[in-house]
Amino acid sequence: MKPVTNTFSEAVTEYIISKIPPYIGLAMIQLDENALIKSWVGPVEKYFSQQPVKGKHLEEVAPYLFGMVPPLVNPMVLPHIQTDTGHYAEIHVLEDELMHTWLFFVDQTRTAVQIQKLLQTINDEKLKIARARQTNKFMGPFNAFYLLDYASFIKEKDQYLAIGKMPVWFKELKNAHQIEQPDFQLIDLFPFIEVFQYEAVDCWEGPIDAKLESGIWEEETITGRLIYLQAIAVKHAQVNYLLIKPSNKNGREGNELIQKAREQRLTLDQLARTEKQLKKLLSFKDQFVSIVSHDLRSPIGAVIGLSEILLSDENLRLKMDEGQKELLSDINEEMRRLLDYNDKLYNWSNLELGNFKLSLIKTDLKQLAEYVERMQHIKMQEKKISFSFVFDSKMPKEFELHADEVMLGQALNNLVGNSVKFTPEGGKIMMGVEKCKHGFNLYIADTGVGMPEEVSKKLFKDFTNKSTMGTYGERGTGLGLGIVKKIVEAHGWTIHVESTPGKGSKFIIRIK
Amino acid sequence: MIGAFAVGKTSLVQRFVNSIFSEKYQTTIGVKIDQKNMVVDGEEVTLLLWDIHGEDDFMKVKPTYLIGSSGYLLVIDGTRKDTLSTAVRLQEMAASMTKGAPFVTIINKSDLATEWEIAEEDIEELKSKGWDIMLTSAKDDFRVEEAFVMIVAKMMQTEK
Repeated sequence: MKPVTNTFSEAVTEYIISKIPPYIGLAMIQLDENALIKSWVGPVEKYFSQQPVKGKHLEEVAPYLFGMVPPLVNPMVLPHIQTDTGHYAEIHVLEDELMHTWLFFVDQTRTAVQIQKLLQTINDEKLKIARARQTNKFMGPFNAFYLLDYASFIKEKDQYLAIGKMPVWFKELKNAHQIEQPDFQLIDLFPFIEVFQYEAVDCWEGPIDAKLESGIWEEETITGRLIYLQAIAVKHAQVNYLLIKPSNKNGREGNELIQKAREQRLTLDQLARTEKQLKKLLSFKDQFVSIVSHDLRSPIGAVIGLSEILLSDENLRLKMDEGQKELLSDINEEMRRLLDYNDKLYNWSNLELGNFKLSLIKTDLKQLAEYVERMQHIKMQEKKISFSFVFDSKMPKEFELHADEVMLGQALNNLVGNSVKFTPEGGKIMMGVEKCKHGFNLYIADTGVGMPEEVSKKLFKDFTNKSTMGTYGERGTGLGLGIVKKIVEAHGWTIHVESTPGKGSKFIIRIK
Repeated sequence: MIGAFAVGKTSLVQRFVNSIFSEKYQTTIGVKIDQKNMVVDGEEVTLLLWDIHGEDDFMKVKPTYLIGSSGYLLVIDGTRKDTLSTAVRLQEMAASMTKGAPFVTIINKSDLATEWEIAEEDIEELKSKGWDIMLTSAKDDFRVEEAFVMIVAKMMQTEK
């Protein structure tokens, strides 16, 4: 340590007394007007890595003091300057009236270290907060959504960054491990998202918090199980999120419903196709029956005609014995029955095919009754059955019936024929018209054998496959009532039967 | 893959990608994406196949599913004529969403030819619109791969 060679001026002394803290270890250097070292005092080695040399420029000894002399302001105080020896000093630079510069070094190492520790702590905290803020942004409110089965991602430009943990289902996905890779791209794992994000843009780029749900897509797990997923684009607090979750329970139930509904639809389609094919087949059958029965009329008629010629040939009759005559008569009778059956078959198939057109005209029921009586006359006479027509006295005089005379005549003839068949000898058959609650009834009533309820109920339902033997052993076609029903319904009317076994039957055509 | 429900879209993809076929009808919910590498005209391509759920009153195909599609297969069920009108409607939507991307029309279920409702005239009418038609059977593995190769070739041609 060298003594100070020059004494302090009054101003410098005053500065020292008033401004320099009374620390032990104060060092001082005096420089001339050219910043050359003139003198020094105190532990300068603490602040300089090399010993000061008189006449040397300050910056040569202490480069860290470059530009400090002369001071920009006088005096200039620079706290916490780290010297090249690692110490900290408060450096006071003071220029006196002789343009000499005085540098005072007040040791601040201890306080600086303390401050540094404090600063370090403060800065660490600040950094932590800053990091936390940053992290918060990534975690957001969806951090724990994995517990609710959501895989959560934040959308940063074109990247999707995972936030929080991934739910169990995600880890089970076939390519879930991709998420660990540094260049992980969500859309490589879920190509569906690539398209969904086109939709989600409106939600993400909108000014307010919003959400948008995607459609459902299917992924496979490592065990080969299929899993249905749905994405939700969310904008919250200016941050864009993408959440992915398995389609929920309700969704699955909905899916099952759709599956069932579609299966039913397929079955219905199949049924409709089958029905169409059946109708086609039925129509074909009716056409076939119609053609065959039409074509059979001529040969049957010819056989009837021939048998009648033979029967009326007196010469031939004389040559035949009784048995042969009876056989010939049977041929004629059976052929007539066959013709009747064939005619009904023809009529029935044409009714089924809809090959008819009603020509409605004002119809005189009495005339129709006379026609029917004529048609059934022989049979009724054989069984001594009486026939009458009854026009109810309560019927309004202005009553008029509009019907297709030919067809209604055929229907009534069938009904009366049916009554004749089931009415024993000496019975009665009545045809009549009466007023009823909803209009008028046209009826055929007989005093025949009647029928039990279970038969009458089914009478118009399965008519084609059965024919019951009449009281004289008469055989029918089983088609008669079917034809009646078709004709009645073609007029827009209905038919039903009321019957009591042993007392008789009443067939009622309700005319609306 | 677009088309009405139960026309066989998933079956076609399964046949093409995994060479399997199941008789059981399993309705597709949403979208199933499969991948298939193939070589067409000497070029290796990776197909990302979007098997989109069938359209009906319960589920309508979202137009956005078609964004970015390079091409599509329009699937019709030969045994159900109403799937043809659905296909026509979907094609209009697809044409607009994909800005005219190429497509191939598949009339599937050729194994059930006796039950077909789609007549030769219907096919001719589609052809007259310039549509490429392929009759396939996912069940019998009939012309399935050809249909995919055809659409890929068309897509590659468009790319060039």
